[in-house]
Amino acid sequence: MISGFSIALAPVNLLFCFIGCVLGTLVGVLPGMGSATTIALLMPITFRLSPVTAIIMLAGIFYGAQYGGSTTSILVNIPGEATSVVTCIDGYQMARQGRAGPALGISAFASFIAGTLGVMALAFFGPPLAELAIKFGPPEFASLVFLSLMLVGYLGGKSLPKALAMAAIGLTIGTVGQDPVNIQPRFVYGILEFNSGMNIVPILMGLFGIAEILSNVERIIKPEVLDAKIKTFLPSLQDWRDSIGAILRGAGIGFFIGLIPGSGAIVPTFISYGIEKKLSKHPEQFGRGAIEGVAGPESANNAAAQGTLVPLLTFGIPPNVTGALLLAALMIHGVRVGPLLITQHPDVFWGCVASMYLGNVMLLILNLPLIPLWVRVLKVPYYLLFPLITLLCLVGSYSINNSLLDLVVLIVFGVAGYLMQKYEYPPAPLVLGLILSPILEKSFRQALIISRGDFSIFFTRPISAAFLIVAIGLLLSHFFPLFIRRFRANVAD
Amino acid sequence: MKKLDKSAIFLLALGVFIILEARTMGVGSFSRPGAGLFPLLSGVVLLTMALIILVASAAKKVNPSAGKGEGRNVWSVFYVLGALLFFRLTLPVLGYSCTAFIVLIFLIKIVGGHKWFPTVVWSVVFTGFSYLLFAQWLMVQFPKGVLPF
Repeated sequence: MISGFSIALAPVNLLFCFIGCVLGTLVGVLPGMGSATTIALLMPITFRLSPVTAIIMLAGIFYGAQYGGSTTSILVNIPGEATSVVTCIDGYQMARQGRAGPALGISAFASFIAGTLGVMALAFFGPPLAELAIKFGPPEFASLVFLSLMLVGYLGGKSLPKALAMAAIGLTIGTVGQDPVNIQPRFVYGILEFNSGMNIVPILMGLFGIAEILSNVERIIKPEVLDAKIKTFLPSLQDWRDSIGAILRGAGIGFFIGLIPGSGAIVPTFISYGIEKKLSKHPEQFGRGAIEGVAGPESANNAAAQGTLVPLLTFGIPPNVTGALLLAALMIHGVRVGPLLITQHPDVFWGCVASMYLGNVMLLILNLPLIPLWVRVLKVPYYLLFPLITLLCLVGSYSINNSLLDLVVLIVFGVAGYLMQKYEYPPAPLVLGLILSPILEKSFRQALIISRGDFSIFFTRPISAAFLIVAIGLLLSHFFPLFIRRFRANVAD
Repeated sequence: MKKLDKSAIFLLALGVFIILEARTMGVGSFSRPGAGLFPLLSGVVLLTMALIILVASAAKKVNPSAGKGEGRNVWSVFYVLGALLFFRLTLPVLGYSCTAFIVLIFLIKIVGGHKWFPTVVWSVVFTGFSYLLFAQWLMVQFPKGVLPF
C-alpha cells in the first residue's frame, strides 16, 4: 500500500488523477453523457501514458461521475448519471425548499465517506480474493464468466431474452479474427485488418457515444436549472445526525452489492433508499425532502463504484460496462488482467487503489467550491456539446490504427446502438460478451479438452458447480413463471 | 392488435447466419473443439432467444398509438449520420482540418440550428483544439488532403 502511495503521489499520476476526477465530475453533471461514454472517448488519449497513469485517470472518471451526477439530480431533477436517479426524489425537493446547499453538501460528504470506505474495503478484499482466483482452473473461469453474463442480463435490463441475445452477439463478435488454436480466420471475409480481431474502441464509441448522440438529437431536451440561491453547502448538526447512519449503511450496501456482476451502482441506490425509508421514524418525509434519502443513495453509489472494481482487478471479470471499458484499456496497454494482476503488476493495482484515496479527497475539495461552476456548465447548450463529442468519436476511432475501416465500424455500431435503444436491447451484455468472449472460449475449450468432451467437469468441481447452479437458477426463475402463466392462460382459454 | 417484433426477425436471421458460418469453420467434437464450436453455440443461443422474443411479441397485444413519440426530430438523426459518412468519405480527399471544419459547421448550423457567427467561431475552435490534441500531441497521422494540415 505504501508503494501504491509513492506511485499515486508521483506528479504525473497526481495530475492525471485530478484530470480524471474533474472530467468525471463534469460528465456526471452533464445529463446525456455517462462515464462509460467518456472512458470510451478518452481511451485513445491514454495510449501515450503508462498503464498505471492511464488506469488512474480512467478510474477517476468512473468514480468522479458518481459525485457529479447528484448536482444535476438536485438542481435540475434530471439524473446526470443513471446512479443518481434516486437522488432526484428528495434532493430536488430539498432544493425547492431552499435547501439546495445542504443537499449538495451532504451528497458530497456522503460520497467522500463511502468512497473512502469503499477503497479501504477494496484494498482489504482484493488480495485474498486474487489468491482464491489463482486456484481457479478453466471450468471455474468458464462457469464464472457464464454466471457474470447471466447476472448482467438478469439484473441489468427489462428483458432477459433480449439481454442474452445481445450477450450472444457480443460473444460472436469477440471471435472475429484468427482462431487462437488453429489460426483459422473466422468472420474475416478477406478484410486483413480483422485478422487480429475487431478493434474494440470504435465499437464502444459507436454503441455509447454515437448512439447517445443520435438519441439525444432526436429528442429535444431543454433542462431547466433551478435558480436557487445557495448560501452554504455545510449541512447542520441535525442534518449530520439524520444522515450519518444512512451514509454508513449505504456504504456497506453499495460495496457488497457492487461486487455482484450485473448489479452495478444503480441497484444499491434503490435498496439503500428503501432501507432508509423503512428504518426512518418519519417515513412520510421521504419524497418531500428527507436528507437521508439523499445521503444513503449517494453513499451507496460511490461505494458500489469501488465494489465493482474488486471482481475486475482480482478475477479479470468486469461486472458492468464501465468495468469492461477499464479492462479493455488495460488490455490495450498490454496489462493482463486476472488473478495474477496483483503479483505481476502490483504498481497497477496498488497505484490505482492509492490514487482513489487521493481522488476522493480531491473530489470533496473540488465539489463544494466548484458547484457554482457546475451549475453554469449545466447551462451549456447541447448543440455545442454534441458536435464536439461527434468529432472526438470520429478522430478517437481513427487514431488507434489510423484506419478508415474503424470509422465504418464506428458508424455501423452507432446505428446499431441507436436501434438497440429504440427496440429496448441493453448494450451492456453485448459489450461484456465481446470483452469476455476470449476468456470464455479459451476456458470452455480447455475444460472440454481436459475432460475429453465430458460436460460433467463443470458440475463435479464444487466452485464451478456453485456458479452454474446460481446461473441456471436465475434462468429458471425468469422463464419458469412465464411458462406457467402461458400454460394457465391456454387452459383458461 | 398483435404485431411481430421486427428486431427479433432480424436476430433470427443473424442467428441462422452465424450458425451456417460457424459450420464452415469446422465445429470439431466436444473432446477436440474446432474453431467453429464456440461461434456455433453463440449462434444457437441467439437463435433461441430470438425465437422467444418473437413468440412473446406475437402473443402480446399492442396499442396501435403506442411508440409514436411527440416532439421527435428524426431528420436530425439522418443529418448526423450523413455527417459521419461525409467525414469517412472526404477525410482521405480533403484532409483532417478541412473535413472536420465542414462537419462541425453542418452539425452546429443545420442540426443545432444556430446563427452563422457563433457557428463559424465554435467550428474553428473545435477544429483547432482537436487538431492540436490528436495531430500535434498524440501524433496521429491523418491522410494528406488539399490543405497541408
